[in-house]
Amino acid sequence: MKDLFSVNQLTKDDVGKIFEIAKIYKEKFNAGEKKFNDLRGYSVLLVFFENSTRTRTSFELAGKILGADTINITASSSSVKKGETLYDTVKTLEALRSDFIVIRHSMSGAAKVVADSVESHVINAGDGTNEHPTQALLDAFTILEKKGKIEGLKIAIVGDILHSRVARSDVKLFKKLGAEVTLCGPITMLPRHFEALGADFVTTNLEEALKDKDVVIFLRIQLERQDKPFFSSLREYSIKYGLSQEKINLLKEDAVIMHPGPVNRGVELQSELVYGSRSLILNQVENGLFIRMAVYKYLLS
Amino acid sequence: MILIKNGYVIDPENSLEGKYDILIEKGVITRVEPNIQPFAGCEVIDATEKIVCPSFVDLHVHFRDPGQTYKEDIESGSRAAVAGGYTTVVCMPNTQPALDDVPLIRYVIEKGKEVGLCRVLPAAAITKGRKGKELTEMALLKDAGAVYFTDDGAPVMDSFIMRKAMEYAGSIGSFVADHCEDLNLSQNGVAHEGEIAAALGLPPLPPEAEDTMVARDCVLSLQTGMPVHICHISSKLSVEIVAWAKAMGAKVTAEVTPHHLYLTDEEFLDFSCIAKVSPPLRTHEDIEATRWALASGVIDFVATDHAPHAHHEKMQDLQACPPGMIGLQFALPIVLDLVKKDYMDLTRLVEVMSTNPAKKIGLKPPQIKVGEVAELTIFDPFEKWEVNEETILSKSKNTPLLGRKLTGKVKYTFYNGKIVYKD
Repeated sequence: MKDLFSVNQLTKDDVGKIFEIAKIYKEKFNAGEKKFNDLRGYSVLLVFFENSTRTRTSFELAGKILGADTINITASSSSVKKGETLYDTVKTLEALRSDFIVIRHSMSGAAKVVADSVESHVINAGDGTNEHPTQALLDAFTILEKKGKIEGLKIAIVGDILHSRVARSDVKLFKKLGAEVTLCGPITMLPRHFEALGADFVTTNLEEALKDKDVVIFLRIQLERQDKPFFSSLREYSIKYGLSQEKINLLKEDAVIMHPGPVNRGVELQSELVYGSRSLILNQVENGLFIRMAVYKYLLS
Repeated sequence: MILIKNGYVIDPENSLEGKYDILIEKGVITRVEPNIQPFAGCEVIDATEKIVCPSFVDLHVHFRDPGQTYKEDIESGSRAAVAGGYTTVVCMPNTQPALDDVPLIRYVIEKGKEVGLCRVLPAAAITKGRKGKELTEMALLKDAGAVYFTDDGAPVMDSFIMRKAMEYAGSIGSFVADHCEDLNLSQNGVAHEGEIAAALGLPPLPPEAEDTMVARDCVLSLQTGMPVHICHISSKLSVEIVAWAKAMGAKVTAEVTPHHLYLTDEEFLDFSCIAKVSPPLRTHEDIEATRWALASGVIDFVATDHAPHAHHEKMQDLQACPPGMIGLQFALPIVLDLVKKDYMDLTRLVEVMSTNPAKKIGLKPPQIKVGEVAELTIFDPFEKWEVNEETILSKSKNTPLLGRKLTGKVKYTFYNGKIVYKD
């Protein structure tokens, strides 16, 4: 596999192998081995046309731990402002002999278009409202670590499904691994043709979505959407779609809570739940590092 | 002297259908008879197994002239037109500057005549600068040669202005044509809001952005008693609304593009900018609806909305790239495909490609009749050809059909008594 732009590219076998590599890295790292040579001599270009701290840092650190040379290119400093097309930008980066291009772009499909036009390995770090495959991998890896399996689990994803690349990648991967997936959000944030996402159930009622779930993933609400008629206020959203201490009782006793971050405290999650006993939020961040190391390694092999 | 031998001739205006030979002397059709013997000094065109019909009329093309001639100009556009069997084209006013003033209308007409390959006519803007605010000098523009009024590319969002434009244009014996799109509903939509846009996370453009504007225009037409023409109709519901308005007696007409008869939103599966067009490519259900509506008369004719864009413009990302695709050379094979699939017969094909659009702008339809200046097209309904950089005669090559094969090829086009295209 040259690139990773979509979960659709991955077979169950691919996912298993990536998890296996991530697991080994994690074990070695925890045992004190903090530098590897797997990517020594390789260059990783982090091309972010959209702001990102967490994902970019994760990819950068993953590359550095593996011994690669990493370079950051952000949209504000790049040629995009000078009117260069995406195609020309990445062809230029390719000519600089980049081995990996990690790309985030505001337009759906951008990562695939780039992957098709360069020889470098391309990893999608989020393209518009389409996909964020490494997020899905780290989510599934985190669930697997905690629950020992994915198959047969009941997973709910709550929030702005319409604009979420995380939801699109998560649904695909969870379904591939045999979970049952429920989507939940205000109707204004659910795609009209939600069936195309591949989920089993869709509901606008949070209580219904939480019932009997093993895992609930809360998505970040983009605060700028308040200006558009997607919801009336953060207050109403937090009351109707935020997780509170009371609503937590609807979940299974051993259910876990996840969030791709950054959390709007008091909106998606009541503040004290963010790092509470059920929260896997920091595990997600930690595993993100090892998953991204594994993806680099897997694409090289 | 030119003798067209053994062709299958169709001309609905003259109730002509069958095998006829056609003799053209000094550009004028002098004989249309079952069997004309060739004689000395006479050039013979063998039209065996080919169809001969009045040449086509396209009320909706973008030749980008003046202002964006790197995409297309009146000359390159004319070449593409005659290669598609067209001898009349109406250029949209979304040029730079917009065709909203008399000298610009004259420029298009004069340049078209200078090129001389086909009849190039302008449509003028409804509002100054196509900004949707102030009406243009419609009466003067009409006198200068504008054949109708449209802000195409943009809708007239203000319903009051649309009503006044409809009334004014109607009162001077012309009409307005609307690019039906409620911009508040379409937002920054890129792809038809269906399963594919949902699955790929493409910014969705809901069909009701078109439907509500079609409904508004139909109601305004009904209430004012004035004509309105719906550009590039593409959704099933819009077709049903037009059918309703026609049944109510509104003077509504509608056109459909070849791409909305043939391609679906599946073209977006590889995130290709080439698939971006306004209105967006829709579903199989919508295609089925537009096909039957064209066959039954709910949709009056085919118009290509030939919209050239340069390669570099279509190389941008999906949000940034401009919508539009070329169409002049694909209309015939696509409509012919509908004949082969039994949606309609060849007579209807000639009506929707030639007769109906000509009448809509008050042009005498081209005819195959003794005494007429030859303006006809000869095409091979069976010839397969590949759409590629060489076969496309436009300056721009933006079409999802690149690399695909179409059946049906124009062999000759006659305009003003002369051969203006020969394959």
